[in-house]
Amino acid sequence: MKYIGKMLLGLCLCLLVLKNASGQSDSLGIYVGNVINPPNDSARAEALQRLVAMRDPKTFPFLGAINGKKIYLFRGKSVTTGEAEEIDGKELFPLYFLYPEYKPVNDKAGKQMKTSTASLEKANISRSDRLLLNPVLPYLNLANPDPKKRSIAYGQLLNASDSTRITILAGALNLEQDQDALTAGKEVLYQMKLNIAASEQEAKAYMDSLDNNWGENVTVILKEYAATGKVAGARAYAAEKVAGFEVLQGRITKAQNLFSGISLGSILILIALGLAIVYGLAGIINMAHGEFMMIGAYSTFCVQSLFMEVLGIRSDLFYFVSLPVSFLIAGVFGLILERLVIRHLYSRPLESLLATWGVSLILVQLARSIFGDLTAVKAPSFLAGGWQVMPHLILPYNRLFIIGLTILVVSLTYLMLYRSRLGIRIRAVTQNRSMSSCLGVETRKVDAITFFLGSGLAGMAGCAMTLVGNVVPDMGQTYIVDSFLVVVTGGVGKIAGAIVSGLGIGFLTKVLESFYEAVYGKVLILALIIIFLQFKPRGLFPDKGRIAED
Amino acid sequence: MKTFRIHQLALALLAVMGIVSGCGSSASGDKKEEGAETVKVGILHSLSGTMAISEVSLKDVVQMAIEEINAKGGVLGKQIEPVIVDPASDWDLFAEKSKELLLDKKVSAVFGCWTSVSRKSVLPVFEENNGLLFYPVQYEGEECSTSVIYTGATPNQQLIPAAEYMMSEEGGGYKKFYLLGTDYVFPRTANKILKAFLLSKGVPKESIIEEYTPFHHQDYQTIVSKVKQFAAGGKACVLSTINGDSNVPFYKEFANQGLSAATCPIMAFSVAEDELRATDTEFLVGHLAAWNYFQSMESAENKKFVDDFRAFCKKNNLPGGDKRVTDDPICWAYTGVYLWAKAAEKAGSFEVSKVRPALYGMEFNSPDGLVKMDTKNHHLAKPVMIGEIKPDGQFDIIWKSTGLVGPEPWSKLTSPDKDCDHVGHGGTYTVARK
Repeated sequence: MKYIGKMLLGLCLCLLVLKNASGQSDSLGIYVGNVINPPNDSARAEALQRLVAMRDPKTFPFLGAINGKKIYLFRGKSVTTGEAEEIDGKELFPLYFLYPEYKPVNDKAGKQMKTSTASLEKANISRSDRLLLNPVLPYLNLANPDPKKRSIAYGQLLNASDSTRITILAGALNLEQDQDALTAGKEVLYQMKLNIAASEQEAKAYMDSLDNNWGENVTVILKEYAATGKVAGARAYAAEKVAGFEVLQGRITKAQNLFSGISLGSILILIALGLAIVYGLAGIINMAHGEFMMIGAYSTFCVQSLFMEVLGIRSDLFYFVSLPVSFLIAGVFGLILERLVIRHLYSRPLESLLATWGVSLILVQLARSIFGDLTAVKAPSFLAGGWQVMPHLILPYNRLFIIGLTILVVSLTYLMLYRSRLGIRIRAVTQNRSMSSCLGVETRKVDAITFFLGSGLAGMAGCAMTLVGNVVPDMGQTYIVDSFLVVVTGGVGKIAGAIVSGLGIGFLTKVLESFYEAVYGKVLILALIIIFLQFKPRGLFPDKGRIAED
Repeated sequence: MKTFRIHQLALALLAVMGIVSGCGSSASGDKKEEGAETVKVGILHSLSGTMAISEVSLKDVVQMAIEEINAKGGVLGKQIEPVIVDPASDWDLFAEKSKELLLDKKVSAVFGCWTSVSRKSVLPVFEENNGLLFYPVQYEGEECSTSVIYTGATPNQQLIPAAEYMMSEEGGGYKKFYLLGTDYVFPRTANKILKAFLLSKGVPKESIIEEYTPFHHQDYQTIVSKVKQFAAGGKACVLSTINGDSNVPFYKEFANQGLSAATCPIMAFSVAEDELRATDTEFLVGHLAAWNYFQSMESAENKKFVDDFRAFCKKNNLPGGDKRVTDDPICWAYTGVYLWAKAAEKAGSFEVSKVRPALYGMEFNSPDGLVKMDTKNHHLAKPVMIGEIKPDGQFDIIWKSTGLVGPEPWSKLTSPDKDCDHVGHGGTYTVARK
C-alpha cells in the first residue's frame, strides 16, 4: 500500500513539473504585471481571471497577498509584508517579493529590508476583483510557512471543484515536513481518492490508508461513505470500521472528561486551599478570600505592565516573577486585614463573615476605580496551545501548568504544616489556643502568619487563573461559592479534605456536564452536595475526638 | 468591652458598604432648577455595578451629542440639559430612577438602558407616565411599546443576516451550527429564532445543537471538546450569544484545544469594539461578529464621529482618553439624541404626544450612513454588516447588506401572526390569517 502511495505521489510530482515546464511562465509574468499595473480598467480583472484559471503554485503567494489586502509596489515589483516588528518604538514590517519567487527583499548590505507600511505604495485592488480569487482561495496557503495554515489549506481543497486539485495536493504533501499537517493533508488526499475509487478493492485500500493515517475526521469520512459511498460492496466495510472507531471515540471522551475533571479539580483545590487553612486553623469565614485572588490577578497584570511598558522587556519571564509577587502582595493585604479587622473577630464565625464580606465589597470597588473594568493578562506564549495526545484528545498547556502548580503548592503547604516548627505551632494554636499560649507560643503572631499564608495562596491562585479566565474586579465572587463548597464538603481545615473534595467536585461537574447542559450540571452538583451533607454534615474528613466538640 | 467594639466595627462596615453601593445614586447630576432656556432630558445608564463596563460609554456619547446640539443653538431655541442618574446595574433601581426622571425632573425624553431586563422593568413606568425612552442596544424583539424608540437592531437586522451569510458560499457554506449562549432572555429568544430560521432553510435537526451556560461561566473545557467533535469533518460554525466575562475563557479554551476561525469560526452577537478595547485579542483574531455599525467603516461621517468621540473623551478626562473606540450601541445612542432633537424641531414642541408621531418615517444621516425610522413601529431601518476581528481589536468589514434592512420587532419565523403598528393598530396586533 505504501508503495502505491509513493508511486502515486511521484507521478503527481512529475505531472506538476511537466505542467510548469510547458512554457506558461512568460504569460504568467505578463498577467502578474497586468494585475499590479493594469493598462486599462478591464485588464486587471481579465489578468486575474487568467491567473486563477492557470492554478500555478508559483502565483499562489502573490494571489494570497491580493486576497489578504497586503500587496504593495516596490521598485516596480510586487511585495508583501511579514509580521510587524517593533524597532526603536516604530512598527516596521519585513518585506518579501511575491513573484517570480517568494523571497525576502534585501538591501545593498544583504539584510532584509524593513519599513513602515505608510512609506509603501499600495496596490488598490477592488473587492469585486478580489472576489475573482474565490475559486483558488483553497490553494493560497499551500506554501504558507505556518504548518497550521497549511493543514487548513489542505482541508479546504476538499471543497475545490476543479480536476487538478488531487495533483496539486499530492505535490504539496510531498514537500510537507510537519507531522500534524502531513496527517491532515493525507486524510484529505485519501478521502478525495476514496470518493472517486471505482472498484471495491481500491475503495477498501483507501479506507485502510485512512485507518492507518488516523486523522481527526476519519470517523466522519467513513460514516459518510457507509451511507452514500459509490461502491456498494465497500460500504459494509466502512460501517464496520466506523463501529470500531466509535468504541475508541467513547474511550477518548472518557479520557477527555477525566482530564477536564482533574484540571477543574486542581483549580478548585488551588483556590480553596488558602480558604481551608484560614477557615480551619484560624476559625474565620473569610468572604474576602475571592478578592485576595483578584488582588493576585491584578498583581500579575501590574508585573506584566511593568515588564512590557516600563522596562520594555517582551518576554514570558514576567509570569514567573509574578507568581511570588502575587503571593506576597495578596499576603500583605491579608496581613493588613488581619491586623485591622480580623484580629478582633477570632472564634466569632458570624461576625467575621459579615465583616469580611464588607471588606470584599470595598476591595472590588477599589479595584474598579483603580483599574477600570477592562484589563487582560496576555498569557505567556509557551502556555498557548496544547499537547495533542491523539486525535480529539488535546491537553491544553495552561491546564497542565495549573495541575503542576497545584501539586507543587499542595506539597509545600503540607510540608510546612506537618514538617516544620511553624506548622506545629499553627496546629497547636488550632487545637488549644490557651494551652499553647501558656507554653510560650505567641498566638497572635501565629494567627497573623496563618492569615498571611492563606491570603498569599489565594493570590497565587489568582495569578494562575489569569491563564484561563479574565481579570475583572468581581472575579473573586465567581469562585468564592465553589471554594466554600470544596472546603465544606471536604471537612473544615483539612488539606486532604480539600484535595479529595476538590477533585471529586471537579470530576463530577465534568461528567455531569457532558451528559447535561452546564446549567443543569451545576444544579445537580449542588443538589448532590446538599444530600451528601445530610449524611455527613462534617464533611469527608471530620475532626475526631475532643476538639471536634468545641 | 470587646463585644461592644466588634459591634461598632460591624456597624461601621455596614455603613461603609451602604455608602459604596449608594454613592452612585446620590451623585446624580441635577445642577440647577428648571429654567426657561433649557429643556431637560434624562440619561439612564448604569455607572456602577456589572453593567458599568458597557453602559458608561453610552452615557459619554449621549453627553457628547447633547454638547454638539447645544453648540449649534440647541433645540427650538433651548439648550438641552442632561439629568444623569445611576441605576447601578440594579433592575429595580432602574424603575425607581426612571420614575424620578419623569415625575420629579420632568424630562422630555430619556436615553438609556442596556439589558432587556432593565428595559422591561422601566416599561410600565414609561407607559403610565407617557414618557419616551430611546433604547440603543440590539435586542431579542417580541416587544412593541408605545413609549420606547428602539434604535438598536431587531433579530432580523442582526441574527438572520449573519446566519444567512454563514450558509452562503461567500461566508463558507457552513452546514452545522452550534448555538451557544449565556442562560438568559436574549440568547434563549435569539436561538429560538435562529433555530426556526435554520430549520426553515432545510438544515436537519441533528446539525443544530443548542447549549447554555450560567452567567460568569469560566470553565469551557467540556463544551469546547463537544464543539470539536461536532466540527469534525468540517462545515461547522458556532453562533455565539455568550455574554460578558465568559467570552474570554471561551475563546482562550477554543484556541488552546486547537480550533480556529478557519476550521470552525465563531459568529458572535455580543462582542463589539468596546469590549475588545483592553482584551488580549490574540485568541479572537479571524472570528466574526455581526452588527449594524463598525468603527472601521470608511466614510467621512464616521471618521468625524470617531475623531469627535476621542476628542470628547480626552477633553473631559474620561478613562481611556483618546484611545477610546466606538461601537454599535455607541453609534445608536448618539443617533437617538439627534432623532429626538430633529423630531422635536419638526413637531415644534417637546411634548411626547407630538414628538412621537414626528419620528415616523424620519430619515437621519448617522455615522452609519443614512438610516430611516419605520413609518409605524418605532424601530430603525439600517444596514447590516459582518466583521472579522483583527489583532488590534478592530473589525475588518467583510460583508455588508445591500441597502437598508427594515425592522421586524416580531420575528416572522417564530411569531408569524403578530406584528407591531402604532399608527393603525396602537401597538401589537394579530395579523389576519389568509
